[in-house]
Amino acid sequence: MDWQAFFAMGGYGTFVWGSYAVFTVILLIVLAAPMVKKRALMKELKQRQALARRRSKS
Amino acid sequence: MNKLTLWFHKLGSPEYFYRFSGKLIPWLALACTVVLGWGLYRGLFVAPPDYQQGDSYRIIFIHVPSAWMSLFIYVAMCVSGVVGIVWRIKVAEIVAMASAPIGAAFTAITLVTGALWGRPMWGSYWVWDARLTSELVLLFIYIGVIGLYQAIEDRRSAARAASILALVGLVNIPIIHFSVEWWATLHQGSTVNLMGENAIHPSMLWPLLAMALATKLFYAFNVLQRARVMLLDQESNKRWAQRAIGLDMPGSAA
Repeated sequence: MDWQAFFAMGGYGTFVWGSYAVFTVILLIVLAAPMVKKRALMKELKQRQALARRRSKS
Repeated sequence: MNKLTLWFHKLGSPEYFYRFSGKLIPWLALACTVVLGWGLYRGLFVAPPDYQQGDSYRIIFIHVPSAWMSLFIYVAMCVSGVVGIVWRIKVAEIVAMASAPIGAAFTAITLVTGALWGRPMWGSYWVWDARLTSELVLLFIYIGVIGLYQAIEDRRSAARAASILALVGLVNIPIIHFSVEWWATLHQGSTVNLMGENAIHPSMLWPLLAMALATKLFYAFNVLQRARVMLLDQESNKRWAQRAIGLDMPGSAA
């Protein structure tokens, strides 16, 4: 397989690979967003749990 | 009630929805990875160059599926939004609102990849053609729906208001679809038709259909994941939610 020709895409390399890069980057952000949000939510809920436990003890 | 109606009723329960989607997500992720891999391999390595556009046409393998998804997700958001408005089902409201950012992302991908294809093929990144303009309006509507949902504090009234806005914006969907027939556009007409002849060779059609399926699986996977986190957030004072994530707070509602 001729890799140089593959990356050149018949002279349209910038446009073709640019498109695939945009597709990949945007979808990776879409994919990561709920995971990041869940982590933040879990942290907040754990803090709330610790607070609620301390309150119920005293 | 028949089994399917009964199952839909069960799906409206946040606890059941959370458990069921949790089981579904790994399979959707696996299916998406396999189909995406096959589609990219066939599209980039196996499919021959186009006789007019050379290799630049390979952009369609992501541009066209993304454009389809920008419309598909919008309709899915409206259907879910209507269910939420009419039957006051929290899960449906959440699924509608979880769809909006994914739809906006696919709309943005469509516009950018279209511009990157338009530059070498039309000689311009952007033209104010009916298809391109109506797709840009779609992006603004998505942003409006997301913005309205974020602007209202009560999550449930926010979801209802944003769903109504989405329904108003629904009028744009047939405009986008038929724009290439109603107006003389620079954008080409449909190549793939559900009914009748396809104006595309099977070596190019199959990777395109695979990418269309992969983006749908991606949406299904991602919307469930988003809905689960939103549901946990809104139901965090309920026992089922705390049990589901291994927390136990004294004084929680049942």
